[in-house]
Amino acid sequence: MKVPIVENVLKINDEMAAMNRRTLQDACVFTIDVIGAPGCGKTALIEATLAACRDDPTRFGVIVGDLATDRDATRLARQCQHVVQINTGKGCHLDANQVRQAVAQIELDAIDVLFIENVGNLICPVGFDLGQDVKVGVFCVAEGDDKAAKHPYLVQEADLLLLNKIDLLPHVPFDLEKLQADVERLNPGVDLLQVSVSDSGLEKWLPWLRDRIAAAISNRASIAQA
Amino acid sequence: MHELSIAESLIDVARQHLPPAAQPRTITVHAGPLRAIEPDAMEWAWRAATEKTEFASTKLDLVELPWRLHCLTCRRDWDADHMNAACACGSTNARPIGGDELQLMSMDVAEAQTTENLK
Ligand SMILES: Nc1nc2c(ncn2[C@@H]2O[C@H](COP(=O)(O)OP(=O)(O)OP(=O)(O)O)[C@@H](O)[C@H]2O)c(=O)[nH]1
Ligand SMILES: [Mg+2]
Ligand SMILES: [Zn+2]
Ligand SMILES: [Zn+2]
Repeated sequence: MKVPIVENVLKINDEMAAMNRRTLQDACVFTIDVIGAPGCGKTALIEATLAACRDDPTRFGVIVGDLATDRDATRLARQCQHVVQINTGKGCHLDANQVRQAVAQIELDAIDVLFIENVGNLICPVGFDLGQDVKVGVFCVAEGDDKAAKHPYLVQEADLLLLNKIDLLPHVPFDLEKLQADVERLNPGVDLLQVSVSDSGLEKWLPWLRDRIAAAISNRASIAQA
Repeated sequence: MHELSIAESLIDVARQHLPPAAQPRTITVHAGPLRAIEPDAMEWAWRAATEKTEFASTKLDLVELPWRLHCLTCRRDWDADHMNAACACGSTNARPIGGDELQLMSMDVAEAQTTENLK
């Protein structure tokens, strides 16, 4: 007997992600899922952002996922009081349940923006909703210019793409126009911002971030008033 | 290895749809190309995840959906083997549509003994 079903395989993750989204939005926390390959500079991006925004009124928290070690959390804790490390063991991506447990360890009233550094992986983190407001995909020059074409899901789903390590451009063969064309084909209109996070080259990223934070805060304030 | 997480989620969702006392024989899943599911890895993950569950002897029928492309030159939509396939009009200027499907479509079950006897 054939039973027709038609149901999302990741339904349970998606339901939990929707709960996280409600929790974070109710607490007026703007949440950014940072996705990129191992070593592309996700932790460095968050570190540099925390340093650059030290005098902003915005208060940050970070959840960081790695297969093993708390090295990234240790790096981030130098600049931020609200850091939670998730060790996924064998898991190559964060899921909504892990994020729910990590969020429970953070004092949400004490933060305005939550970064979630996903496990270094360009593939499956994209398919697992965590309850974030936006997904930021990070590529870097050292990976080569074919990464957008090889990882179309991330490019399609990203609200913003960063190309990091732009300082290395003179040293490696890299066809910037090719990458830009692949991105434009897969996600027309999405911004691909060039950054160099370990070299204080954040001038394109910070205005984007500050705009999005301001928009989220005013949007939520007006919802709270209504 | 996202196949293992997918297999585990699939068990949870399938369980919600399994009629009481029915034996699941085949589970059909449709996966779009963006999901990058590797069939051999998925098969292995399904075997590993279902061990000691009611799905231990259930076959996983993974249907890999083709790329669906939209040609920006002649505006035709068609199914292709890969994302960079050229359109019949000769253009390679096409955009993928969808592709992120990941759905449990149906389950083939052996009915419980009592219903079997009624037939
Ligand atoms: N040249 C250059 N190196 C960079 C830049 N950003 C990061 N790096 C270096 O890249 C290496 C990896 O950076 P991380 O921030 O640890 O990368 P990650 O993405 O967090 O890595 P995982 O958490 O292991 O996936 C470090 O040695 C950084 O110093 C950059 O803009 N330019
Ligand atoms: Mg890191
Ligand atoms: Zn994974
Ligand atoms: Zn055409």
